[in-house]
Amino acid sequence: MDQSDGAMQKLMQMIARTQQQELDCGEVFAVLDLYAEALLAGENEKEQFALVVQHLDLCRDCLEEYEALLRVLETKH
Amino acid sequence: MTERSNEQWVDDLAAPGEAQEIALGDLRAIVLRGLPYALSKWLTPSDPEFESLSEEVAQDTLLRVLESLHTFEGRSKFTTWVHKIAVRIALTELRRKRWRDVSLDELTENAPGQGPLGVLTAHVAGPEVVAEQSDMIAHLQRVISEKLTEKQREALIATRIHGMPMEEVARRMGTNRNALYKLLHDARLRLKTGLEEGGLSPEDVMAAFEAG
Repeated sequence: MDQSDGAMQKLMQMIARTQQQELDCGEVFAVLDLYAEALLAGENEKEQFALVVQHLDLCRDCLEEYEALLRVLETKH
Repeated sequence: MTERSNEQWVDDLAAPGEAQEIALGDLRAIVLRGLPYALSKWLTPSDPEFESLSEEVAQDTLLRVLESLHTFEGRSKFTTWVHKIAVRIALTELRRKRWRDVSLDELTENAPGQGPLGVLTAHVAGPEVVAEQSDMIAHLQRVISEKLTEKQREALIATRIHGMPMEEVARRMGTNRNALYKLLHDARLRLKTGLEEGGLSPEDVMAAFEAG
């Protein structure tokens, strides 16, 4: 698969996941600590934070920040 | 290091004095211990860049924490909230450094002979493209050029094709990350509607190209 093929598929996936109402990066950042703690506590975070999950699925920057935060929290230090 | 409750952290940091000095020292150590994990995907502690970046991030994080202490609602652990701020500052700085020499213009220039977002639909040229696919591509190209603004096309190419971080695209476009997200969200909605108007769904397009 060449670059353009991949780009086309990615664009379509992105459109398929698009919702009328989405949180922006600031709204996600505001609750990112709560979401990370809920995940680590094994709470039913996917339902509770459905809009955050949806945003992380579409925004690589926020996803990177979320994963970095998880790496820090998962480490007992 | 003293174990502190959320309330103790906020109390100690709230006013200048000895308690604040000690709390800031402790917090700095906590931030510095977290950064190797936060940055592990990009930098190892042995990287020459690591130490100066960590120092800078720790310093900026403490300033940001003091500035926004009144916004901490106590719904998470105080240190989780601080790590969140440190991660944002660290990745923002790392992205800024990594993308420093890249201009938006050079990323979003159309390749010769291609229309807007040509790179997305470039494989139209192949002789093996069947009629159904070529109709879809033509429709998609029309939607992209008619329904999206120039800024939306530019932002899509930079973020989606070239993987430029949101913050970096936003700065170059004279906007901020939230506004850019909204611009891209609107672009996705327009593309979705545009496809629907042509009787297509993104799933149809994916299926047609997977088969081909």
